Amino acid sequence: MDTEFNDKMPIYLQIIDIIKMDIVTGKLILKDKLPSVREMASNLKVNPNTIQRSYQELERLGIVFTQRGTGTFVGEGKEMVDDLKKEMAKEVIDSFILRMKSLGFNADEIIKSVSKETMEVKKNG
Amino acid sequence: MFKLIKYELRATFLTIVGICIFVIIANLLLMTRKGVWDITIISGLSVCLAIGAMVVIFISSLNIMSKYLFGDSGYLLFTLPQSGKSIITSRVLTALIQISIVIFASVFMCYLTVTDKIDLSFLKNFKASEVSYFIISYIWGIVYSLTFIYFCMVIGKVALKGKKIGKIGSFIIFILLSVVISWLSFKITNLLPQTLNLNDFSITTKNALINSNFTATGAAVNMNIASTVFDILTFVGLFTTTSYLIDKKLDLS
Amino acid sequence: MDNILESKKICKSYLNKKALRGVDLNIIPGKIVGLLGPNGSGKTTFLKIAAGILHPSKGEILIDGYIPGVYTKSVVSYLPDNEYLLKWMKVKDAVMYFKDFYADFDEKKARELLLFMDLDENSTVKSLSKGMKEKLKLTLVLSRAAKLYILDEPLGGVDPTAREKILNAIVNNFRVESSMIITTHLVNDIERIFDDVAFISDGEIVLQGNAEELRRDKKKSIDELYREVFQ
Repeated sequence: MDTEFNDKMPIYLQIIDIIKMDIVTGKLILKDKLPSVREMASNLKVNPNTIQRSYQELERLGIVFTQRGTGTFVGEGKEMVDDLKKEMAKEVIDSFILRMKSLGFNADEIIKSVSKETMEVKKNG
Repeated sequence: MFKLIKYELRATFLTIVGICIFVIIANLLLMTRKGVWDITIISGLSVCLAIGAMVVIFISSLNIMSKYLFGDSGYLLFTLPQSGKSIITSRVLTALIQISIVIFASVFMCYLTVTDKIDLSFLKNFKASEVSYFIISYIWGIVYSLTFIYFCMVIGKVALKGKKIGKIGSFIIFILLSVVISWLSFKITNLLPQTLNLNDFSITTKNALINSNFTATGAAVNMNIASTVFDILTFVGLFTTTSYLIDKKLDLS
Repeated sequence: MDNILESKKICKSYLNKKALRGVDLNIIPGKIVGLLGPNGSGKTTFLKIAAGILHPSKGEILIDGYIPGVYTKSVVSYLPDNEYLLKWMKVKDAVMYFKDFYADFDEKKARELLLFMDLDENSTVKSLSKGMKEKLKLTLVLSRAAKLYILDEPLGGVDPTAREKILNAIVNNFRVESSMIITTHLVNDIERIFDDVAFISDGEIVLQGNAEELRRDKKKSIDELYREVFQ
């Protein structure tokens, strides 16, 4: 797990993002057990209450569920991974579009440059 | 409290052993000079050694307390869940044990050095009552003076913040308090001259010419009742106040 | 929930200066609180009052509902900033000492921590480097199951590897029934461990709050906030 945190924003949100990322990339699969609050806190050197908050928020969002005494587990919904993927992609795209717009690109230009760059990346492997 | 005593004895173990070994070796050396030097010189030196050792250990006992109050080791001691009473009692008792060990070693070596043959039969001459009176007075003397000095140290520290001033203050308080208490004791002895004869427990009224609060005339040992009571009350007052100050008022810088 | 530490308008005055001018700070169980401020701000003074070795001039402080005294000393585990370990001791003597005087001392945990910190039981306190002494002090303090841990500059004068270990030990020691109050200059290294922070300047708390909320609201790290408050 990436332990480079940005201390300027709430850490619990960053932990949530890390876990979401792990789910999307397949590092964590459905029904996997998340590390205990203590383990995470120890590994990341973060306050256990912060980890707890992240887990609680993820549970509220329906991404994980907690079984008392056993631990916290990734949810079971098959669509969940896809939904998360789409949601995270949207965030990336939205902020990308905003930045491109601030550089002066209009919608067509944005689509053209994205196609061009994606082809380049594909060609270069 | 007994745990405190255990650790304090361990902490000063080397010092005690060091002093005793020094006294023993020095006396052995003196013994080798027996035919050569004048016996009075040998005795004199031996006695000096004994007195020196006693002074050293007594001052060491005071120094330990000083380090607690004015130095870093107090942080460990005063954060323990121990009451002021426990701390003072263990400190005084530890000091008593240490001083007694040194005194015993020094006096015994002194005796060995001075005497020509080892004949301990003179011990038979002592009566049990005299011995117990002697031991009680000895213990009382040490405990009282240590408590008195520790009281002055604690008051000095509490009343005058700051290390140097605190120590000087303690000393001044010691002088003042000694004078006051002696004067009061003297007045009381004269005001209430009833004395208790410890041999037959009779109460007589001693002549006011005899100013001391305890006299030993021949086989009789007398002590002034009123001043003894005063001494005991003073001791209790000093002890209680010191414990209270340690509990409630002591600030470690 | 009852406060483990409750201070109301704590003042401490000396002849020539006022170290604390009315500090209000409450800590509930299960929290790690950072008390942040420069030298002379009064943070050590406050901690000493909570530890029971200093008495406030005015105001009230309660630890687990009690005025500092013999009981509070039995539930408070205090790590002072200075060299307070007895020099004649070996590491194992220090462990025994704590075991003898504190009912809540866990010897097994102490030995585990000593191993973790690479400390040899048989070394004398005198022979330890500054970093090793800090690790030993922390081992002893954290091996107690206290209600309140008071750590005064636990990372002071310690090299980065030792700091890692110390931070690890602190995080691993967290228990829901107990709380910690930690002071430090090295805010950057330790800020993720704090639940709440209180900035103290010249004897008064000038800013306090939940660390995450402060990050969200001010869009700054606690370290940056610290620099800002005390520039």
